[in-house]
Amino acid sequence: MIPKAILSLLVCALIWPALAFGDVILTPKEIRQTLSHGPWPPKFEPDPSNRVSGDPAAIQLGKTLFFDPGLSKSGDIACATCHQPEKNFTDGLSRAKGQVELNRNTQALWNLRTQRWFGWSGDTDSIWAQSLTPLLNDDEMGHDAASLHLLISKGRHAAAYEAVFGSLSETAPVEAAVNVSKALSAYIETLTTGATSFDKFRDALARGDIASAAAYPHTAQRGLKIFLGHGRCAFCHSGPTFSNGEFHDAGVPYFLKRGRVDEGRYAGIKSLKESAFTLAGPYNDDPAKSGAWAANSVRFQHSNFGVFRVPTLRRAAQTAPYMHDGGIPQLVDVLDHYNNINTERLHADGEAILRPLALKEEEIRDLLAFLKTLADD
Amino acid sequence: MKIHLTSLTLLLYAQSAIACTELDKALLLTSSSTAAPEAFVIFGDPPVSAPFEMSVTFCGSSGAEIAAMTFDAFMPAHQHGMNYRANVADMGEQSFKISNVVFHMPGRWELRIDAEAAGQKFAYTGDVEVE
Repeated sequence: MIPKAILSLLVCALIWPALAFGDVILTPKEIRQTLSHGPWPPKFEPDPSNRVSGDPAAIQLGKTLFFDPGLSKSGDIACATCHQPEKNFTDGLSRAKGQVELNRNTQALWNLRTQRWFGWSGDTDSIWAQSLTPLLNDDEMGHDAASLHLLISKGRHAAAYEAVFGSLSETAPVEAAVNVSKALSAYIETLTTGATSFDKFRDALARGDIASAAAYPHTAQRGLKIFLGHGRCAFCHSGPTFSNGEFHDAGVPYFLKRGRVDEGRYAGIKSLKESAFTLAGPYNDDPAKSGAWAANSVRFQHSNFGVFRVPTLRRAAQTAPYMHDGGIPQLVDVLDHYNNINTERLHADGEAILRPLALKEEEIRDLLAFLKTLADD
Repeated sequence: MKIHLTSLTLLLYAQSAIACTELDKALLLTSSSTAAPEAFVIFGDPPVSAPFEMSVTFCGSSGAEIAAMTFDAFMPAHQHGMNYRANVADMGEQSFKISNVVFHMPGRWELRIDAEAAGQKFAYTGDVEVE
């Protein structure tokens, strides 16, 4: 028997374009594409690489640690200093500020559990490994494994830590540091955005409920059509998170101060291959090492140079500024960047996805209206 | 050659070698050599940017054993390949399992397979549409 929702879509496909689905102005192909951007939010599934994933005590410990400036060696920077909840877990700055100004924009922490790679260059393949990075970076939290072990052993988190992970005195410093990052990860996994007006539209289409779908504003529908079609956005911003989770050349300069360059994914893969803290390494709690395939088989290529991870578009309308270097102040400026992209800035031997879009002003407004419906939960 | 892939979904995780008599719904690859054994690929609807498996079976009257096979894929419209190396495992009976195939963008992907049999090398291609 054909499910009711499928049947409804088939019926709609047959009568389109004569009725154009009442107030739904998408073609059957666009509806199929739209369905691929959901459902949302995803069901929680514990991270097999983190044995305390989903554990309430670990989540509470991670939350407490997240807001504690004592987690930095200087005692004045917490995770929440850069990842501020009231700013969608970003800081609103172009470039993050740790002990010094860093090279990249602070990314929001929403929906990280859906990702394959973390950070702008994907130098880690789990939330816990990504959480460990700032803890042990001199320019950020500035600890080493020994100082972090000492901090937890002698400080106010010792009892909560030992309740989750066991005796600290019997734990090697590196392992304790990884455990701290796994508690942070257990908390960060809980940060998920909710269903937006786009998701309600998408779910109504999935049910074949055209009357409910028609409540989605026309301007957003027109923007969605551009997004899926001649805007060429959905090539990279695919799936329920609106990101393919991979790395692309967005035509953003990667020069840093003093003549240095940000190598992006190229450096990310180098770091990944040298790291013990990957899903292919000894700190993965999953006996099957099911997530290790990516680190084991990722290709190290010249085209990785200066490319950065495609960010999710969920809540993107509320996380300015944009791009890996925070160099674009507003979302409308990002659209302008792609609309008039300077192809001279793209890799000469790289992928050929981007080209100037020549969108009209009203099309930019529609695209913006659509993007805002990914952030109104 | 393009085929509709939905009907192949149930065959996706076939673990054993596929007999040549079971390949009526598989994708037949093209080769520039008339001496090349026929090569068939079986897979389900390819997901966007997630790993999946394919199987390749070689059929031909010569009966020459396939000594080696390599796999890659390329997106002609965007001039890029895959970001991951796929794993190729010999399943016996002229069949190979390809795992960790990741098409990270929607659109047309070109499969590229090289095989060696009886000291000769054969190149194959086939198109897959990813939605």
